[in-house]
Order: sequence, then structure tokens, then C-alpha cells
Amino acid sequence: MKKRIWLAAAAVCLCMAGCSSQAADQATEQVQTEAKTTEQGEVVVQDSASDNKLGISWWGTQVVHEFTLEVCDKYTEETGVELEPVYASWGDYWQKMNTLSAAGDLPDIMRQDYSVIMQYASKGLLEPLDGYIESGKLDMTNVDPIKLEGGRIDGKLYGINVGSNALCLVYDEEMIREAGMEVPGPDMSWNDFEQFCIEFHDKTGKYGSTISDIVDNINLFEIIARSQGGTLFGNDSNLGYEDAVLTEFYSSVQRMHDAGALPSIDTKVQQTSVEDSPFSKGEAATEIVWTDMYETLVTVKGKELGLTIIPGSGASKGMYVKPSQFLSVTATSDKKDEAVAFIDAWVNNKEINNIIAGRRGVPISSVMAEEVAGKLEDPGKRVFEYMDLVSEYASPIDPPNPPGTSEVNAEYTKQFEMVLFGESTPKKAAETFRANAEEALKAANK
Amino acid sequence: MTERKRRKRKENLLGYLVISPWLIGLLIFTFLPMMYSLYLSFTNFDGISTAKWIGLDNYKRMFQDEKFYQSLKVTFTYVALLVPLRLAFALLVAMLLCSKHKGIGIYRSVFYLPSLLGGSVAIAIMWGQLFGADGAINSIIRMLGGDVTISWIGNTKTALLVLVILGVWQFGASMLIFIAGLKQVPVTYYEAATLDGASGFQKFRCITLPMLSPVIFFNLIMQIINAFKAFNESYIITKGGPLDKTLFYALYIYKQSFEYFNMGYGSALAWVLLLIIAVFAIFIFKSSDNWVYYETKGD
Amino acid sequence: MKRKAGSSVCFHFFAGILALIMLYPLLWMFSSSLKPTEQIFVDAANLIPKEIHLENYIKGWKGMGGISFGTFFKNSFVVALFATIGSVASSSIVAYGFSRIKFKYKNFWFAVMMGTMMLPEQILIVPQYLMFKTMRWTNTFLPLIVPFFCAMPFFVFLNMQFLRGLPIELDEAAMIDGCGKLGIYTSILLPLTKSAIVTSVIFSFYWRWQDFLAPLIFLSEPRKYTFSVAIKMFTDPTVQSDWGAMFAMAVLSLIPVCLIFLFFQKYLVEGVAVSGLKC
Repeated sequence: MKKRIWLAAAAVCLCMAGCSSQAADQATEQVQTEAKTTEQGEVVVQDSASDNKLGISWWGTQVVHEFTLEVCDKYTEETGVELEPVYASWGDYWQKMNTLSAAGDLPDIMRQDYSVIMQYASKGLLEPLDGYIESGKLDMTNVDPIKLEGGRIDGKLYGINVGSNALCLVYDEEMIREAGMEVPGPDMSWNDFEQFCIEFHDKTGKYGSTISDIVDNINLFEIIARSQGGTLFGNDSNLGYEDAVLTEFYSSVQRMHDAGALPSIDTKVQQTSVEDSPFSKGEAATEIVWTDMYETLVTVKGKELGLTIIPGSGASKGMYVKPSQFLSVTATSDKKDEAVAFIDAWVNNKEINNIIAGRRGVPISSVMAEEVAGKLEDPGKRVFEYMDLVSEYASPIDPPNPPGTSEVNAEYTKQFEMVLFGESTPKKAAETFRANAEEALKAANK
Repeated sequence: MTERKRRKRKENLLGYLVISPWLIGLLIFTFLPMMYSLYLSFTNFDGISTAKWIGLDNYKRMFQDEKFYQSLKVTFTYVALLVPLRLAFALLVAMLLCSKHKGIGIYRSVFYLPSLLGGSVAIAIMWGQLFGADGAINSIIRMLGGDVTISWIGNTKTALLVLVILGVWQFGASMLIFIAGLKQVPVTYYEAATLDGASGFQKFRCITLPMLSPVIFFNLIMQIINAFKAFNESYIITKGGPLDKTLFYALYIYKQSFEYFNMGYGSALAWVLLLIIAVFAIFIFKSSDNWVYYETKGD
Repeated sequence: MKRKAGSSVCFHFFAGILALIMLYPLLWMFSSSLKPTEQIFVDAANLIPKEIHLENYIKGWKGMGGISFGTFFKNSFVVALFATIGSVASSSIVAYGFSRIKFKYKNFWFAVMMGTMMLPEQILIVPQYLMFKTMRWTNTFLPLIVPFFCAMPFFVFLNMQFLRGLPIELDEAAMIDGCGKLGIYTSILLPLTKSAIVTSVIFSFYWRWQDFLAPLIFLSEPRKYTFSVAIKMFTDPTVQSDWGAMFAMAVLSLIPVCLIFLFFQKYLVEGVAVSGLKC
């Protein structure tokens, strides 16, 4: 009797499962036919990894997707190798990649970022590329070796940097001149900048700079720390600067904030993107951003904007150029040679570099840099020139961020907010930040 | 005796047959992932490399985790404010919309719309605008003679309140369920009550409330579960700030798992959340015997 | 008579004000979609755009990489439609089992079902991906549709609460008339829980339509992306975002959801009269 019950139940189960998957199959099928895929009338359950195409992934917006897809098409046209692209915006990209990596399902080539590459490399998810360079499969003869250093972790090269970024101070020349003031230049110190903001506020009632770009960006403080002979991260799960430096930086921003020269910390959450910052809306004279935001700001403001290095960084080469986009080959890839060949084409192929046209920064190959340089227009040209300026004031970048970095960043911002909300003093905040950050680093490196 | 036994067995079989779609789904799609996340909660797992068994360490870690307490505090406050406010509002509007007036359908649609926009970026931007320092809310207060310059959404004291208001404003879904429930109350009951000369309030207390109590119960349970799991609001609008004053528990789980790469700890936090919600749910289920009225008594 | 007119005016006055408050964000989004991207934030406080620009819609609809939003629309529609049919039908029948049939360990299973709702989805996504990968279901719509044929706890519970509001005498009377258990369900209880079914349809369609996390993780080919995944490609904090196109597509994405609502909500209009037992 009991047996019969279970048999009956099993039959129902099967029937249900059958019905449901049938319906779903129809759904899949429908779209399959519409998408003009070859396998019709069958459930298409293909695995991206088992496919013969070369998988590649990147993040960005529509503009980035468009030109990268163009590069992919060009590559297929030239070599016959078909690509399977996966793309999304920044946050979604990482959520997806982290899930895929847990499943050992990463695409063959993935775009990597300086803040994440160490996590991936130290888990053995990326393929070291040194061997391919030695064997000549990856041709780096026209590339200044220093430009590759950013992708080196523990002596091995895990990614080829194909784009560069630097922090900059963007300013609205017109607004500043109207206030009867001088525009900031490379020799401005941080104290000068503080005075500049306060003076600008006194004269115009507007803000000297924006708040969220200062409070949320730990790299700004990293530059300040480097300018005074320190580093942000030390060698061994600790921080590599004197507490006095952070205390002074927190106090300086607090003075500007309390004087009304910066928007109130209250308004920080209101800024969702660079497009709606007080600077974009004409309420602030300057904004501290990464160079890849410069074009956006120019578009939003509809006029030419000045840009210079971070105040206080000029005297002792605190600035650095950050490799902003690596191309890496994943360790789980079964088509590593093809993946390397694609990266090689990205670096050395003329046609492909003409499509990219410096949209990801100056090409690392000196030959391609010359090829592209003549064809640039503003505002892209302005960024190229700025990167030249930066290299005069820059020293080599510190090693990629250790695991635990995002927790450290969050803590940095929190302590900063506590100071500005008046719930902590700069000195206490700097001390608390060090204690909590070092604890987080230790936990993450266990 | 055997006859009864057989009947019982038949009913057993039928019961399992009828719920089999869910049982199969549970086994295939839910049970394994849930067990896997339970396993992860006992490991050190960054989401990338292999998980390392560390026993109860993740659970012990919570006791020393300041942010864990902060997120609990925020979430409890949010639940305590949002659930009663939203349900009361939803019920009030639902009853209003069950009266016979022209254009009820239009109002119903309009009131439901905000819940469709829920977690979109548009809402995040707009809400920031409305409750910002120069936002519409402050303009209205100034028009009425008040003098305010604070940014409601960025202020440590009011930020959570703004998210509560956002939640109440999206009362549409609960309202819809209340309307559906009200429609199920037989009209004859009201007619009989009117004949007996009952007042509007009496009708509400003696007919509407008891008849609607299963649906109120449903909304209450679901709203509590969802409010404990609230994520989108703070993820999109405030990112947990200012000063972690809107750090919802689910947002903290997300940050630990996907931003700080502590997926093991994130899983442990998730299981603690499950326990907390379960305690509440059990409490409400037990209390429901006293206030929920079912037509089907006995079971 | 006079009093009635007064109450009507009163009703429309308050309902009207409330409606305006509720509508504000939608109007804001719509007006933003008609502004050029550079203007959206500068001019955010203005509900009425200075000039009307339709470029956002044209540009947005083109999509990216040669895949227009028509494709994303279709994908979303297929997923939402099948998942809704599946979850509404299966949830209704499972609810019947839980509320009207006595079987062993029923309370235990019910508790398990409630428990599955209490874990945040984010935490389950990695193990689910692993599972769907071994089933070779990734990059198909199957993970977005098939699980919903296995009943959704929310709708099961919703239907249960409505079923339990119906008197047991209905079943007994039908039984005397010679109805089987399943006959009671299909011919008596199902029609009476119409309002619960309609509510489920409205919710389910909307939830599946705007579902973001699952399609993002389980689909890899951009051609298969759903509307909600594709729409996010317009904004990215690291580069310039096309806000205008994003708002335009967001407005379009609301249309099917609103249509479903408008179509089904009219079935909520009449109340249910408990009478007339036929089998």
C-alpha cells in the first residue's frame, strides 16, 4: 500500500516536471527562433564555457559597450575567431563575475580593475602572462616595461594594463575669474586650496568644491599621504602613514566644511553620480575626480574646463598614474593561447587601436600612441595633455590594494563623516580609523 | 476502524499529491541552496577560493561586531515604524476605494503606481531631490512660514524616517490585497447589519475586521518578513549612510558578502536573520488564534 | 441627497490630493525622459521640460551592440508570462492542499514553506548558480521560469488566507452533492477565490518583469538579457551615464505592467456573494 502511494506521488511529480519544463522549453524555443539561433526545435542548453567561442567580459556604459563590441567584430573579421561578449555596468559586473568565479565559469578574457585584481590573482583565478611574453605570443617590445608594473603581483604579471587614470582637480575657469581669483595650478598646496575654497565662498556664496568626491575617495588622501613621504597601505596589514597627516587632512576639510566652503555633509547622499554633483550644476568652482570623468563633466557643463593636479601633491611627487583597465586571462580558460592573441591584438593592432582611439587612455604601445595621438580632438586631447603633466609630478604607484580594501574604504568614509557631523574629532577619527582598518586587513588576510 | 484508517491514508496521499509541485520545487530549487548557504556560514569563504571550515567563528564574530548591532537597531526601528503605518494607511485607503464613487478604478491605479517604481534609480534620485536641502519638502515648509535648511535624507536624525515615509508611500501592494479581501466579504452581511440598524463603525468592528482578519494577518506576516529583508531602499538611495543610520540588516549582509568578500560571514548573518524573523512569525502565528477569524473552524 | 453629494465632493477632494502626491514621481520620471541628459539634474526641480525632446526614446530603443530594446522587451515578456502562469496556477492548488486537506506533518511543511521566505535572496544566488550550471540551465530562460511552476510561498499563503475565509459548509454541501475533493476545488472554491488569483497575477507579472538579480546572474548572452538588466547598462558610476535614455526606457518598461494591472483589476470590481452551490 505504502509503495503504491509513493509510486503515485512519483508519477505526479514526473508529470508536473514534464509539463512545466515543456512550457518553459516552448518559451526558450520561441526566443531562440526569434534570435535566429541555429538549433531550432530543441532546448538550447549551451554552456558559455563549453562553447567554441572565446569568452570576453567588461563593464561600462552603452558607449563603452558599443566600441568594445566594434573591436570584437573587427577582431573576428581579421582572424576568424568568434567572440562571446558579456558586459554589464560596474556593480553588476562584479556581482556576476564573483558568482561565475565561485562556479569556475569565468570567461576566457576578463577586464580587471586595480582594486580587485589582487583578490583574483591571489586566489589563483588569473593566468600569469610572463611566459607568453617570453615566448613572443604576447608582443610587448614597443611597451615601456614600467607601464606593465601595475599588473604585477608577487613578481608575476596577471594583467596587461590598457588604460590609465589619474586623479585631477577640475575647475570652472569662468566662475573663478568672475570671482576675481586665480585658477589653481600645479604648485598649489593643500593649505592654499583650503584658503582658495573659503575665499571663493566668501566672495560668491557658492562652494569651493564638492563634498562627496572628497569624503568618499580614499585615494585623495592616499595622494596627500604620499606627498608627505608615506603610503596608504603599509607592508603587513597595516597603514603606512603618520596619524598626524590624516588628522590634519580631516581638520582641513572640517574647516572648509564648517566655513560653508563645501556643501554640507547632509547633502552627500543626494549626489548619485557625477552628473548631479554641485559642480555640474554650477554651484561649486572645482571638483576632484578621476580623469575618465572629465569628458562627462565637459558634456554636462557644456564648456571647456580646466584641470590640474591634486593640490599639495606637486612638491614631492605624490601623484600617481593608476592602471585602470587590465585585460587578464583566466586560469580556468581552455583557450589561453587564443585569449593571449586577442590581448596582443588590442595592444599592437593598428585597426583596433584606431577604433579604441584612446577612449581607454593613451595606448601603452609607443607605436600605437603615435598612431592615435594625431587624430584626437578635445576634450580627449586635453586629458592626454594632462596625463603628460601628471607624469612630471608622479612617482610609481604603490602595489595593488590588499584584500580587505573595500572595508577599509568604508571605514575611512565613516570616520570622515563622523568628523563632519561633529560626532568625532579629527584626532580621534584618525586613530579609530587606523585601529579598525588594520583589524579589517588582518581579518581579510588570515 | 480499518475503514477510517484507509480514508485517512487516502486523504494523506491526496494532500501530498496536491502540494507536490511545491515539495518538488523545495527539494530541487530551494533546499540544496539553503543547505549550501548554511554550510557556508560555518566557513571562511571569500566567494572566490575554496571555503575553509571554521566552526562557529562567524557566529561568535557577530557579538563583537559593532555594525551588526547597528544594523539590527536600524532594522528593528524600521520594522516597528513601517509595518503599522503602512498597513493602517493601506487599509484606510482600501476601504475608501471600496465605496461607490465615480472613477474608483482610476484612483486605484494611481495609488498602486508608486509600488511599481519601488527599487528604481529614478526613485532614488527623486527622493533625494524631494527631501534634500533645497527640495520640495523644505520649500513647502518655508512657504508655511517655517525656517528649515536641513537635508532630511542626509541628516543622521531624519534619514531613516525618510525611508519609512518612502515605504508608507508604497502602500499599493498591501492596499490591493485588502481590496481583494474586502470584496470577498459577502454583501449580505452588511445588508443584514443595516437592517438591524448598525452604525458604520459597528459594521467595521463587527463585520469588516473579523471577516478581513485572515487578510490582515497575511499582510502583517508578509510585511514583517519583507521589512526585515528590506534592501533596495537603502541600497539605492542612502547606501546605508549617513553614519550607518540607514544600514539595513540585509544591506549589511550584501556588503559583507559581495563588497567585503566575506561570504561565509554574510551567510551566517543571513541565517541569524532567518531566526529572528522566524521568532516573530511564530509569535504572531500563536497570537493569531485570538484575533484571526476563519470561517473554516477546526483546522 | 444633498449629504451624499457633499460626501462625494469630499471624497474626490482627498482622493485627488492623494493621487497627485502618488503620481508625482511618475510625472517626474516622464518629464526627465523628455529632457536632454545634461539638463536632467540641473533642471531637476522643474516638472515641465522647457522643450520636448524625443531623442532619448529613439536612442534608448536602439539599445546596444545591434540589439534593440525590442529584443529585451520580448525576453522579459516571455519570462514574466510563463513564470506568472506557472506560479499562479501551482500556488492556487498547493494552497488548496494546505487549507482544505488534512495530511500528516502538514504544519511542519507549512512552517518550512514560511521559512524559505525568510532568507534574503542575495545569499542564495551563488549556490543556485552552481546548481543550474550542473543542470546546464545557465544562459537559458529555464532558471527564470521553471522554479515558478513549483508554487511561490507568497501566493500559496495569500490563497490560503482567502480559502480559509470561505465557510467549510460549502465543501460539505458539495460533498453531499457527490463532488470529489478536486471537484470541490475546481468548481466551487476556485471561482470564489477569484480576487486572490487576480491579485496574484498582478503581483507575479510585475515581480518577474522587474526581477533583476536572477536574470543578471543566470543569463550571459546579452541577446537574452531582460529589460531590467539591459536598462542598467545606461548608467555606470565609472563613466558617463546616459540618464535620459535610461529614464525613457524606464517609462516604457512601466507600460506592460500598467496594462496588466488595468486589465486585471477590473475583475476586482464586483464583490463575491456566497451562494448558489453548483457542482
